[in-house]
Amino acid sequence: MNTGVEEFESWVRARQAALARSAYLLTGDLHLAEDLLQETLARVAARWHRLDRSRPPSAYASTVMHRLAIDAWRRRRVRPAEVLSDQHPELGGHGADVERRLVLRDALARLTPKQRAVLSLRFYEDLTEVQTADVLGISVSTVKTTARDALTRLRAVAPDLLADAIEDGSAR
Amino acid sequence: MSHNSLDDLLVQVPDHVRPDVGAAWSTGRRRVRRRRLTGVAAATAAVVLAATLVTTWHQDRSIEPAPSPDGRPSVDGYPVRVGPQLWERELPARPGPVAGFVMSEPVDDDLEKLHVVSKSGRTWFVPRGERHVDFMPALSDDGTRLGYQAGPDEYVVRDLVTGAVVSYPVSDNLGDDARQPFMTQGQIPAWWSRDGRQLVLSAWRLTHPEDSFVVLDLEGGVRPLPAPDLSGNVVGWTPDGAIAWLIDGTSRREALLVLTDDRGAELDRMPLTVPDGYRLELHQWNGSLSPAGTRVVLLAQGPGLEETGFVFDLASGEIVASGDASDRASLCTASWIGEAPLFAVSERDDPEDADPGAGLVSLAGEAVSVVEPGLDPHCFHLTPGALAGNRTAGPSTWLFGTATGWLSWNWAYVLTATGLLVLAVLTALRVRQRRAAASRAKDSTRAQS
Repeated sequence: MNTGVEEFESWVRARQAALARSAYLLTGDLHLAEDLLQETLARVAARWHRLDRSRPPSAYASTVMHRLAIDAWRRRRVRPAEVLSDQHPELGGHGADVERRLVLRDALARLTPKQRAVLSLRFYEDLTEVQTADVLGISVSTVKTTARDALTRLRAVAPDLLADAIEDGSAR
Repeated sequence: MSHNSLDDLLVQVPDHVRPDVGAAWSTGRRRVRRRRLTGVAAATAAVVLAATLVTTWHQDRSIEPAPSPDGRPSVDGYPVRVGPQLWERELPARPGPVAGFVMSEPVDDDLEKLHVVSKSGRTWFVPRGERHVDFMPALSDDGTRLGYQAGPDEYVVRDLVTGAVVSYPVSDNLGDDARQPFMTQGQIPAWWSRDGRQLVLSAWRLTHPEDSFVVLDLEGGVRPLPAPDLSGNVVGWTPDGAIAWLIDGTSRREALLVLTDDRGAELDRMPLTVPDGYRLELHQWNGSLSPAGTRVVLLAQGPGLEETGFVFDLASGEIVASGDASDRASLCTASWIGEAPLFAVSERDDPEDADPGAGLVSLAGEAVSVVEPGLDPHCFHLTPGALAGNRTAGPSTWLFGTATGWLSWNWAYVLTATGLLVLAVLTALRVRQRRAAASRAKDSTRAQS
C-alpha cells in the first residue's frame, strides 16, 4: 500500500503543473481549478491500483478532468454569471502582458465548458480530433463543430490574440 | 489560437493551484472501500430479493400433470414443505392433479378450512359454505378427484383436471329437517377406490337408518353399502376393487380385516392381533390399507396408554413394523409412502413440544413433509400417487429441510425486509451524497461570483 502512495505522490509531483494548467483552462478560476484538480487526483487515486500501466496515468487523469469539468457544469441548475474580479494573482507580469492575458482569460471565460474542454485538448494537450473525441466521449464531428464555434467566438472577442490561430479546419 | 498563447496565460497557474496529494489519496482509497462495501451490500440485497422472488414464484401457478397409463394426468410428486403463502387463493376450477390437503382448525365456533396442496407446496382454499364440523374431504390416489361436503344439502366431487363438478343429494346432519334422500355426518373419513371411480362415504338413507355407508359413482349415483358388522369401518380399497373393513375381533387385542365387494358381499376375512399388553380400540380413524392392498396399519394403546402403530403384512398376518404414534393427529387418516404409513402430527396435539411442527412423519419419527403453522392444521394428507413421486424441494427445503422453527417459515420475509432496508439505506446515502455534491457546487459558484 505504501508503494502505491509513493508512486502516486511521485506521479503527482511530476504532473502537477500540467494538470493545474489544464484545470485552470477548463474552469477559468483558480479556486475551481484547485477543486477540479483535487477531485481528479482523488479519482485517479481510487483507480490507481487498477490503472493500465501500459498507458501513462496522465491520459486517464486528463480524461477524468475534462469529463468532470463538463459534468460539473451539467449538474448546475442555473448557469452562474461569469464575473471577473479586478484581482488576478495568476496573471503575473507587467503592462501589455497582463492586459493580453486578461483579454485571453476573459475570452476563454465566455466559452462553454465543452468548448473550453475541446480547446484545451486540441490546442493545449495537442490531441488529435479523434483522441479528443475519445477523451470526451463525443463524436469527431462534434469535436470539429465545437472547436469551430469556440474559435469563432474567441475570434470575435479577442481577434488580436488569434492572429496566429490555427484554423479549425486545418487542425490535425 | 496557439499553444504558446495559452501557455502564456497559464504560466503562473501552478504557483497558485496546489492540490493536497495526501488528501486526494485518502479520498480515493476511501471511495474504493465504500464502493466495495456498497457493491457487497447491493449484491446481498439483490441475492436476497432474487431468493425471495424465487421462493415466491417457485410455487407453480398451474400443475404440470404427468400422464398416467390410461392417459389421464396424475400427480407425480409431493412437497417437503407446505406454505407459507403471502396470498391465499381459492382453488381454481382446473388446477390439475394435486398432492393432498390440509384441514385447518376451525377459526370460529363451527368453521374449519380445507386447503388443497400442490406437489410444490402451494395451497388453495376450498370454499365450503358455513357449517362444517370435521367433514373430511377425500382425494383420489392420483390427486385428480376431490370429494367434500360443499353445503348443507350437497356433497360434490370435483374433477380437478376437467373442472367438472358432480353433485350428490347428501345432506349434513346439522339441520333440523331432512332435505335430501341421504344424510351424512362429520368425523368419518371417506375412501376413494384405487382407480378413483367410486367413493365410499359414511351416510344413510333417511328411510333406512340401519344403513351406514353409501357408494358414490362418478355420474352422481348413490347406492347403499351394507357393512359386514355394526362395528365395521372402512379402511380402504384394494387395487382390484374390494373394500377393506375393520371389525371387532374376539378380544381387545384382535381386529378382523374383512374384504367385501363394492356391493357388500364378503370376500375374505383375516384376524390381526397386536402384542400382549396392547389394546385395540377400533374407531373410524383407526386403520388404513396400503395402496397395494398388502398391508394394514393399526393403532393400539400400550400399557402406559401410549399409542403405537403396528403394520401388518396381509399375506402372513404378521406385524412387520411398529412405532410410536402418540403425536398422531387424532382426526386424520394415515398417508402411505409405498407400503409404509405416515401419520399426520399436529402441533395442537402436543403444545408442550419443544418443536411443535405439524406434518407427516413415519413410524420411525422421520418427518417426510411439514406444514406451515399458519395453516393451523389438524389433519394433513398426501395421496399415495403423490408420495410415490419425487419430492419437490425449493429454496426453503435446501436451507431448512423439514425443520419447523420460526425462521424456517419466515426466512424469506426476514431477508426481504433486510434487503429492502439495505436498499433504503443505500438510497438514502446516495441522496445524501448528491445533495452534498450539489451544495459544494453551489458554494463554488458563489465563491466564484
